[in-house]
Amino acid sequence: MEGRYGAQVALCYQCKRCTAGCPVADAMDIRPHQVVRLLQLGNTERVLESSAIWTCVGCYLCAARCPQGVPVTDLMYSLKGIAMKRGMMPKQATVPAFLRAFSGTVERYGRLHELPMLAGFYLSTDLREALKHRAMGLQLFRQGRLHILGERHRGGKAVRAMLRKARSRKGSP
Amino acid sequence: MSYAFYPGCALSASALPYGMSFREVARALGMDIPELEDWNCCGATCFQTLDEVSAISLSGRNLALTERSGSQELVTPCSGCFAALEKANQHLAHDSLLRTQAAAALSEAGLSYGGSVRVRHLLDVMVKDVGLDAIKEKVTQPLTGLKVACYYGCLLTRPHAIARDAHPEYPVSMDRLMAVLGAEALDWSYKTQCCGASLALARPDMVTRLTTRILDNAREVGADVVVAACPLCQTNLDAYQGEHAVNGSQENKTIPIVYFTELMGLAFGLSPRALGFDKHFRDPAPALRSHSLVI
Repeated sequence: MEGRYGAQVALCYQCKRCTAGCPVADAMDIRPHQVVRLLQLGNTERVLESSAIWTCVGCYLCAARCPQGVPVTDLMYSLKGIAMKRGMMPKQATVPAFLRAFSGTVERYGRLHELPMLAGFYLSTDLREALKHRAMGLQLFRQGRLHILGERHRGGKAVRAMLRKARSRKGSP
Repeated sequence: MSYAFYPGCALSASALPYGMSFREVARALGMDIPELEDWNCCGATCFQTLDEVSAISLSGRNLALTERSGSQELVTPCSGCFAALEKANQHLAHDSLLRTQAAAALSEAGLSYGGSVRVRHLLDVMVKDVGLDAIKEKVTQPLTGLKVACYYGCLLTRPHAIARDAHPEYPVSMDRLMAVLGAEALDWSYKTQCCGASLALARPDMVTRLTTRILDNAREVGADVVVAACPLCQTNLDAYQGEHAVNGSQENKTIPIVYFTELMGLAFGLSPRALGFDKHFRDPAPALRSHSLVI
C-alpha cells in the first residue's frame, strides 16, 4: 500500500470533496477522507478493520472530484484485497463471499455463469436470502435470461493455466 | 477500422435484450462487427480486488486475441467490461513490472500482446463512428413525445484516464443519440450516480437505496423510460423496483429501464420482439404505446 500509492496519498490536504460526493459515505464507519488520512498517518490496521472499505461501491466519484488526483477508489479496492489476504473479514462477510464465488466461477469456466456463481454465494452465506429472490430468478429463467447450463467455452483450460501462472509469482498468495 | 465485438458474460444471459437489439441494429446499419472468438471474462472489478496480475491477464487475453484476429478495436456494450479491459490495456502499456508478469501468464495460454488494440464502448462507437447523421437516416418511426432519462452510470464516464473525453458527471452523448431518434432527452441530476454495481448480491440494501434515489429523480422530471448502456446498470435499476416500498411517495410507481440499442431498433422500425422488449422485469410496452409507438 505505502509503496504503490504512497506518493499520491501524501498529496491529500483533507478538503473532503471525496466524502462530500460519495453516495454511500453516510453508511460508512469512517469516511473516505478519513481513510486517506489514516493511511497518511500509517494506521493501515484501522482502515483494514473498517466497514468502509466493504461499503465502497467503486463508482470513482471521489477520484474524479479529488483536486490532488488521489486514486481513492483504487485504494479501496487494494485495501479490500489486503484485508482478505490477511483474513481480516468484516462482520457481515457477504462482499468477500461474493468475490470468492465470482472468481471461483470464472476460474472454473473462463466466463461468468450465473447459476454456479449464485449457488457458491448463497451456500457460503445464507440460503434463505436466495429464497427471497426466487420470483426474480423464475422470471429470468422464463425469459431465457438464466441458463441451467452455460455455453461451453473452449478457452477455459487456457484461462485456468494462465491464472495459475499469474498467482504463482513470488510474493502472491 | 476493423472491429471485434466483446459481448461480456451478461449479454446472452440477464442482458439478453441488449444483445438481441445490438445485433438487429448493427445489421440495419450495415456494421461489420464480428464477435471475438473464444473470449473470456474480463475479470471485472472482482479480480482487481483479489489479484491485479490475474485481472490484467484475464483482460489481456482478450486484447491478445483481438490483436491476433487482426482487429484494431475491441468494442464492448458493458461499462464494467469497458473499464476492466481499458484499465488492463493502460497497465500493459505503462507498467513494465505488471506487463512482464502478465506476459508470463499469457504465454501459458499460448498468447502474447503487443499493445495495438484500442478498447471502445459501444455507445461511443455508435455516436462517433457510425455517426448521428447515418443513424438519423435509418429512423422510420421517430420516438416523438417519448421522454427519456439517459443513465450513464459510473464506469462509462469515470475515471477520466479510462473514459477519456466523456464528461465525468454530465455526459451528453446518449442524450444526443436519443434526440436524433426523435425522443426528448431530459435534464436530470442522477445520470452518473452509481446504481450499486456489483454489490447487488452482497449488499442488496445498498443497491436499493441507490437505485431508489435515481429512479425517484427520473420520475420527478417526468421520464417515461430510463435508458441504460450497461447490463449491470439496467439489471440493478430494473430488478429491484419491486423492493422499493420505502419512503412512501413513489412506492407504487414503476418505470421501465431499456437499453439504448432497443430504442434505436424501435425507431428504425424493427420488430419489437426481435429487439427483446418482452424480456424485462418492468414491461416497457405500456409506456411506449402511450406515445403511439408500435410495439
